[in-house]
Amino acid sequence: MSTYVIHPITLCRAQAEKSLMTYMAHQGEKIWRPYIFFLVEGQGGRFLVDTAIEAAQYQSYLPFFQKVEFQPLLSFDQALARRGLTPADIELVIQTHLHFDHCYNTARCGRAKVVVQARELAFARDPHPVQASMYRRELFEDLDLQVVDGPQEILPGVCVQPSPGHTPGGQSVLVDTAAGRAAICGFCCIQENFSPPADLTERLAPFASQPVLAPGIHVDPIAGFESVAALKQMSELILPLHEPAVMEVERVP
Amino acid sequence: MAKLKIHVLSSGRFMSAEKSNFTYQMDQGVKIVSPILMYFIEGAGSKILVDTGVSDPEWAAKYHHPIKRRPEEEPLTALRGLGVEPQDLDLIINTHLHWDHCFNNHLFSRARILVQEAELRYAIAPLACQALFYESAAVGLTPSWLKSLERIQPVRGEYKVEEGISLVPLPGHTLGCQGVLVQLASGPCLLAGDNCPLLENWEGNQLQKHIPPGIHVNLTDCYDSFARMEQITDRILPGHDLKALAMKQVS
Repeated sequence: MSTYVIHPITLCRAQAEKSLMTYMAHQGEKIWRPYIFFLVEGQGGRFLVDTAIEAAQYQSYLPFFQKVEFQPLLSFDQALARRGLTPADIELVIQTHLHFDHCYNTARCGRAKVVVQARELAFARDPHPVQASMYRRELFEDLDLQVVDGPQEILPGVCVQPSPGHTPGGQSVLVDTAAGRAAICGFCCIQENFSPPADLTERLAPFASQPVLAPGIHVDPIAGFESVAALKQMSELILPLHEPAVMEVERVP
Repeated sequence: MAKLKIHVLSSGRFMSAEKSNFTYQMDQGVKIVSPILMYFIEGAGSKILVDTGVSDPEWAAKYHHPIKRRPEEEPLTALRGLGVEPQDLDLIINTHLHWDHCFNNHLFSRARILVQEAELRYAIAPLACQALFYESAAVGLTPSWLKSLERIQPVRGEYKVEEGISLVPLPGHTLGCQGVLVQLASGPCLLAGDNCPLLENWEGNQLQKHIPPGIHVNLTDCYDSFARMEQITDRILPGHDLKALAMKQVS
C-alpha cells in the first residue's frame, strides 16, 4: 500500500469573521484565518493540494482587501524552497476548488497537471453573481487541466471526493497515511465545522442535535452540511482548509 | 372590487436577534429587536391572516430565543383589536412552517390553511441544523401546526386565493416559502415572508441590489426569488421588521 506524508504550508493569515467558516455559529467572533496549501509526498509520487495566496497577492486582488489586516509569512517560492523544491518540480496539483485564494499560485507550476472537478470548472467559467468575485479566469484558464467528474483515484492511495456546497464542484482529497486516511477538505472550513464545541449546543439551540456545521460561505448550505458530515465519516484525520491549528502542524503523520 | 387593506400585527418580539441571521454575511454579532409579524387582510371576501405568529414567551425561551410579548401582542387579542373573533377567520396563509410563523394555527378553529406542498414535505424531516426551526421530531418536539393538519390545503406553485390576492412561491429561505401578493388601491404589495425578513433585504446596499436572508436552504434560490419579486412589485412587507410594524396598516 502506498502511503504519504502531508506538509501543510501557510503563506499568510488575515483577521476574519469566524462565522464565514461556521454557518450560523460564532457570529461576531474573529479569528486569524490562515491561507494554507498542502505538499504531499509518498511512494506514489509528489503533489500539491491547492497553491494558496500570499498576503500581497491577496491585498491587490480587490480594493476592499486593502482594509483587511493581513500578516505575511512566506512567498510561494520560499515555501517550496524550504522543502528543497521549486515550482518547476511540481508535476501535479489537485485543486480543492477554484476560488482565487486556493489557486493563485498554480500557474507558477508550469509543468503541473491540475486536477479539478468538471462542475467546479463550469461554475468558475460562468459563476453565479453571488460568488463571481471569487473566481478570476486568468488564474485557471491556461493551466494544464485534468478534468474529473465525481470520485476518482488520482494516484495509488490518493482519491478525490466531491464535496459540494461551499462551491458547486469542490472536491476533498483523501490521502492514505501511515496513521490512517487523512482528508484535506474540499471547502473552506475550520475544525469546529466537524466538532462544534459543546457550549454551542447551550447557546445556540438550533444546533442541539447537529453533529457538524455547514460552511458559512456557500452556494447551497444543505449540500455543504452533507459534505461536512460525509467527510467526517470517511476519514480518520481531517485537515480543514482554514484551521488556525493546522498552521502549527509541520507534517502528518 | 372591494378595497383591500393590510393590517400589520406583532405576535411578540425577539429582544436580541442576531442580525446576520437576517442579512447574510453582514453585521455578524449585531443584535436587534425584531418583531414576529402577522398580517391581516381586510376587505376581502374571506377573512385572511398571513402567518399566525410565535409561541408564548415561556416556550420560546425554553426551546428557541427569549421573546417579549405585550398583552396586545397575544395573537387572539391582536385580532380582536380589529374586530375579528378567532372562529370568524376563514383562511390562514403560512408563508412557511418555521415555528414562529405558524405556532397559532390551531387557535383559529374554522380556518383553512394554505401552505406550499414543498414546505409541508420538508417540514416533517428537515436538515438537522434546521430541525429546531420546524420543531420537528429530530429534536424531540411535535410541530404546533400538526394540531390542525386536517385543515391544511397544500398548494403547488402560484395560486389565486381570490380576486386581488394570490400566492407566489419564493423559495430560498426555506424550500417552500411563499409570498402573498395583495392588490391595494395604491398598487400591488407583496408580503414576502422571510425571504425579506427586513426591509433592508429588499432595499440592498452599495454592494448588493438585495441582501439574502442569513437563514436559507439555497442561496441561488434566494436570488431567483428576488428576481421574481422584481417582476411583480416594488413594494414589500417583511417578516420581522420594526419599520413594518410602525406602518400599522397599508392600503
